[in-house]
Amino acid sequence: MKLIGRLSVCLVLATTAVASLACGDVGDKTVVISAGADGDIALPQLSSQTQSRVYAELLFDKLAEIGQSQNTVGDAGYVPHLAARWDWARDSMAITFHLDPRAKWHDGQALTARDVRFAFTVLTDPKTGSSAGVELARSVDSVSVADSLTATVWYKARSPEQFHAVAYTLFPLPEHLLGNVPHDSLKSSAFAKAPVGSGPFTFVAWEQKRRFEMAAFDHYLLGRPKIDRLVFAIAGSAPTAVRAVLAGDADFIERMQLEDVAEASRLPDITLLPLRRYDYGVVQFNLWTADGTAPHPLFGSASMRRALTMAVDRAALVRNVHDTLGRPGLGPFARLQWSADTTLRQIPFDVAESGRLLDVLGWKLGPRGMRSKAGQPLAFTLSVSSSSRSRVRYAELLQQSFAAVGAAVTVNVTDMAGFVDQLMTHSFDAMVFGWTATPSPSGARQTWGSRAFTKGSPFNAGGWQNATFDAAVANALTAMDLKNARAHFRVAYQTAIDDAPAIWLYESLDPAAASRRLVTGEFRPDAWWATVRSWDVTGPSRRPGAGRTATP
Amino acid sequence: MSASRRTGNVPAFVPAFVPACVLALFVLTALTAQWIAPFDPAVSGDLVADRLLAPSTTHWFGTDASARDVFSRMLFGTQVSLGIAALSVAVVLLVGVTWGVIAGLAPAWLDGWMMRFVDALMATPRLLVVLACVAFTGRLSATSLALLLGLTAWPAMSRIVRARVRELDATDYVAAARALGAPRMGIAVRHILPGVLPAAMVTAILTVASVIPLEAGLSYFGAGIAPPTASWGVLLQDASARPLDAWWLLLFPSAAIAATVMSVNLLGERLRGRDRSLLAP
Amino acid sequence: MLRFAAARARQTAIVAFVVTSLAFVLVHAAPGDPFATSLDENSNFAAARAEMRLRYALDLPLWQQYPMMLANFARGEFGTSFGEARPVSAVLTDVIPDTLLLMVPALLIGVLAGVAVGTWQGAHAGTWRDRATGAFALSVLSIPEFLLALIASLVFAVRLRWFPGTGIFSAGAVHASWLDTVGDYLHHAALPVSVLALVIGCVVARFQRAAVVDTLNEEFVRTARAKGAATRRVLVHHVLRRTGGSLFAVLGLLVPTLVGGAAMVEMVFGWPGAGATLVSAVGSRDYPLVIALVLVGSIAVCVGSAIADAAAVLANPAIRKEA
Repeated sequence: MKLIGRLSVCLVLATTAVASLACGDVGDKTVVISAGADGDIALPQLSSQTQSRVYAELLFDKLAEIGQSQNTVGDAGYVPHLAARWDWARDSMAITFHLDPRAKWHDGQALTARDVRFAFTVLTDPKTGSSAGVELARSVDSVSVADSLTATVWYKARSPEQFHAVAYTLFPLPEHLLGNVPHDSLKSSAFAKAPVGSGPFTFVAWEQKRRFEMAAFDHYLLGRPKIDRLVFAIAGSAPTAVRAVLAGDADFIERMQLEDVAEASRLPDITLLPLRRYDYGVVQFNLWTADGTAPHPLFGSASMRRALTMAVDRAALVRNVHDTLGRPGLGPFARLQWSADTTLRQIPFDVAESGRLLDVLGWKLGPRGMRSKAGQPLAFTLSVSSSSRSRVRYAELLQQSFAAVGAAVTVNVTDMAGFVDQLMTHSFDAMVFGWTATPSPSGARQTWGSRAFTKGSPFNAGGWQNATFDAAVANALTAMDLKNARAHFRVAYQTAIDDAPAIWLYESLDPAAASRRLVTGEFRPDAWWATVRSWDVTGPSRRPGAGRTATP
Repeated sequence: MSASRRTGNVPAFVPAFVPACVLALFVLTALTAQWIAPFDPAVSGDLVADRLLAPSTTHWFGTDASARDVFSRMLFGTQVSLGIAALSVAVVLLVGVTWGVIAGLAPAWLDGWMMRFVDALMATPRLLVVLACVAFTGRLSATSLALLLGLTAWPAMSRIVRARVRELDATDYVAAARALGAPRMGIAVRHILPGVLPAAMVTAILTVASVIPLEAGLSYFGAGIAPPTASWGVLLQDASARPLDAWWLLLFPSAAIAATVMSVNLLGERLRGRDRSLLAP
Repeated sequence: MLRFAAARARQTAIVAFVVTSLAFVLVHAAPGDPFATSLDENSNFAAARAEMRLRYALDLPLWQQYPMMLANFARGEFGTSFGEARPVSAVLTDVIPDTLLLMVPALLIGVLAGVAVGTWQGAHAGTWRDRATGAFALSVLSIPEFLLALIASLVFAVRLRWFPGTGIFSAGAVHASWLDTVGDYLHHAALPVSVLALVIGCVVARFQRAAVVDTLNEEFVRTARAKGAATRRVLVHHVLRRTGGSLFAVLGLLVPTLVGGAAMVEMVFGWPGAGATLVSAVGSRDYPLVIALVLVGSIAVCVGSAIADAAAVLANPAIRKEA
C-alpha cells in the first residue's frame, strides 16, 4: 500500500509539474474555432459540406461581398472586395468588374481578370461537378477579358438578382496554378487540400478530422486580419465540439447545442453570442407513395395536411424546445430574407376544427381516441435524424400533438446517413428537418418548386406540385422592381401556407459561444465566418503552449 | 462457502438476499409499470411551466426538458432495459448451451472446429460488431438490439458449458448410462443437461452485467434504442447535456444501472462460489 | 510453443475472414447514404452522389467487389475513405498511434495499480479496508465507462478547468521543445487515461485479490509462512509468481471488452483515435473505413489476446505442459 501511495503521489506531482511548465504563455494572436465535423476539400463551390465552405471562403475572396443588409437585388449594399468597382451596361446585359490592382494570390502573383474568366470556365463546366456552377451557366453567357484588371460578365437575360448571382457564386481561381489541371480531377487534386487563394487567410496545414490551420495574409487587399493564426479544431461530434469551448480548449463555436446553453451561461469566461440565421425547420409531408406512382393515402389530401397543421401548437412547441432562441415558422422562407412577410394568413392552432376536418374526411374517432376509416387506422411515421437533438424533441412533441386529434404517429429516429437516404429516395411519410435558406429568396424555387421533385434529390422531397406557386415565384424572380417582386412572393408564400405541403414549424436562433477574450463584432447571417478577418483577441489563452511563437 | 466467508470476499459480506431483493424489485417494477406509473411516460405536461421541474411530491423524480414525468419514464425504461437484458440472456442460454453441449459431446475434430469458432468470436470486439450492424440498419429496434447483444455474448457461455460437459462426461454415472446402452441424445438430455444448468444459469446472470451497460452506451451515442422509447440509455442521453444543473435527469437512470449491475455481480459471484472455471469476462 | 503460435495464427486468420465478410455484407446492405453530410440549399447533391458512386464502383455487383476487396486487403490497400477523400491506410496510420497513446498507458497503470491493490487486499482479506476497497471497485465497475468519462469531463474539465476536455494536444499550440509536447500530451491524457485505467484497475484488482486469497491458502505458502518467511517476502516470491499466469489469461479475455470501453472514452473526450473514428465512419456510411477499422481492431484484439495467453503459458509451468 505504501508503494502505491508513493507511486500515485509521484504521478500527480509529475503531471502537475509538467503541466504547469507547459502553461506559461504570452502571445501571438491565435484563435481556435471548435467544429464538430471536418470538410473534404477547401475549394469554393466544389463541395457540399458546410465545413468545406467555411475553409474555402476564408482562403478565397469574391469580387464583391453582400453587405450586412443582406440585400440581393441589384448591387445595393454590396462591398467591393477583389473588384474595386463595377459598371453596368446600359441594357443591364453585362457588368464590367474593375479589379483592385493590389489584389494578389497568396503566392505573391497578381490576381488578374484572366483568373475571373478561368474560374467561370471551370465552374460552369459540368465535368467539374459544381451545381452552383451549372446554375450560374443558366443566367450567365460568358466572361470576357478586356485587360488584366477588367473582366466583363455577359448575361443571357436580365434579372433583379443578376449581380448577386455572379458576385455571390464566383470566386476567382488562380489560372497560373490550375490551368493545366483537368476539370474533372480538380476536386481530387493536391491543390484542393492545400490551396493558394486570395482571401484574408493563407493555408498553413490540414490534418484531416483533427485540425485545419490558417495564417493571416499580410498582403490582404482590405487589410491584414487582426489575428495571426486561425485554427479549426475538429472534435468529431457536436456535443464534444461544444464541450471544447466550455472547457476552454477552443475560443469559438458557431452553434451551441440548445441543451448546453444553460451550462455555458454559468461559466464566467464564456459569452453566448446571438446570431441571425436563415435556418428554418419544417414537418414535410410526402404527397406520394414510396414508388412515386400514386398519391399518398393520407397526405395526398390538402384537407388532411391542413387538419394536421391545425393540431400543432407551434408557439408552445417552439417555446419548449427553443425557448427564446427560436420563433414559429411562417412559410417557405426565413424572416431574414427580403421577401419575408409576417402578415401572411396562417393556419391557426385549433384542435376542434382539426377534429371536425378529419370527421368530414371520414376518419371517425374510435374507442381509445384514435381515428380510423374503413378499418384503416389513421397512422403514419414521422422520420427525424438523430443528429439534431432539438428536432428529435420536436418529433416527440409532434407525436403527442397528433395523438390529441386521433392520429397514431410512430417516430422513426435514424442517423444522418439513413435519414438522408429516406429523403433522397422519397421513402418516408412525414419528416422533421431543417433547411438553411440563402439571402436570395430564389432558393424557394429549388426547395419547393415542382421541378425540384426528382428521385435522388433532397429538394421538394415530398413532391408538392403547385402551378400557382411556381408561376408566382417565377414572376417574382423576373419582376424588375422590388414592390412587384414582393407582391408575387406574397402570393407564392400564401399558396404554400394554404396548401400546407409542410408544417412551417420553427426558425432557429441558436447562439454561438466564444471565450471572453475574443472580440467578434457583428456576424453576417449568411456566413458567420465572413467577418473573422476583423476579429481580435484581448487576453491570453489558458491553453497550455498556446501563443508561443514557433522557433525556427 | 466457509472458506470464502473466512477470507471475506465482498459478496460474502452482503447477504445474498439483498441483491436478490434489488433485482426482484426492478423486475417487479418492470412488470407492473403500466399500473404503478403515476403519469403517462410519453405525454408532456404544460410545455413551458412543467419542464425541468426538480423532484417534488407530484413528480418524485422531477420532469425532463419535454415536461414529462421522469419517474414514470424510469418505470417504463426499466421495462425496456430489463426486457432487452432478458431477451439477450435467453439467446445466450439457447445458443450457448446448445453449442457447448454439442461441442462437449462431439468427436474431437468437430469439437476443435467449434471451439476455434468460439475463440474467433470471443476475440471479436462486440462493440465493433454491433456498430457494424447499426450501419447496416440505420437504427435497430429494441428486439433486434437484444438479439444482437445476445448473439455476440454466447461464446463465453458455450466455453463454460463445454468444459462442464467434458467433466460430466467423464463421471462414472454417465459412463454407466453409456454402458447400459442409453442413446447419446438421451444421455445428453437426461444426465448432462441438468448437470450443466447451474453453471449456465450463473453465467446467464453475469451476462446481464455486460448487456445493460452496453445497451446504455449504445443508446447514449445514438446507436441503440431511439427516443421516444424510454430505456435507461435513452434517459441518460436526455440527461447528458445538462447533468450539472438538472441533476435528477442523470442520477436516477445511472443509479438504476449501477444498482442492477452491482446486484447481478454480487448475486452471480455468490452463486458461483469459488468455482474459478466459471470466470467469464 | 511453435504449435501454439501456429494455432494462434490460424485463429487470427479465421477471425479476419469472418469479420471481413460480416462487415462487407452488413455495410453494403446498408440503406444509408455514404455521401451525405450537408443539407444546405443550393448544395450540389445529386451530382456529387452520382460521381462518388461511380468513382467507388458501388454499382458493380457485390460479388465482383468482394474478391477485389480481399485482394486489396492482402496488399494492405483498404481503398479510399469516402468521408476524408484519402487512402484508408493513411487514416489508419493517423488514428492507431493515437489510440495506443490512450490504451497503453491506461493498461500499464491499470494493471500495475490493480495488481498492487489486489495483492494488498488479498493479504489483508477480511479487514474493513479490504471490504471498502472491494466495494469501491465493484461500484466503479457497475457504472458504464462512458458515464464515468462524461462526469469526469464535466467536473474536471468544464467546471474546475483543471484539465483540457478534448483532444490529445492543444489545438494551435506550438511546442517549444519535446518536453513541452510531452507535457501537453500528459495534460490532455490525464482524464481519459485515468478513467480507463480506473476501470481496468478495478477489474484486475478484483481478480488479483481472489487469486491471492486462494494462493495464500495453499499448502506451499502455508509452509513458507510456517517456516517464518515475512509476509511481504511470501507475497512477492510465491504468490505473485503463482498468480501471474492466470492474470495474463484474464487480460487476454478482457482485451475485446477493453477495446469497446476505450472507444466510448475516446468519443466522450474527442480523442481522435480508432474508436471515435469508427463511430463517425458508421454514421457517415464510410464503407471502406468501417471495414478496415473493424478488421484491424479485431486482428489487434487477436494478437493482444495471443500475447496475453503466451505470457500466461510462460508464466505458469502447469499450463505450459498442457499446451
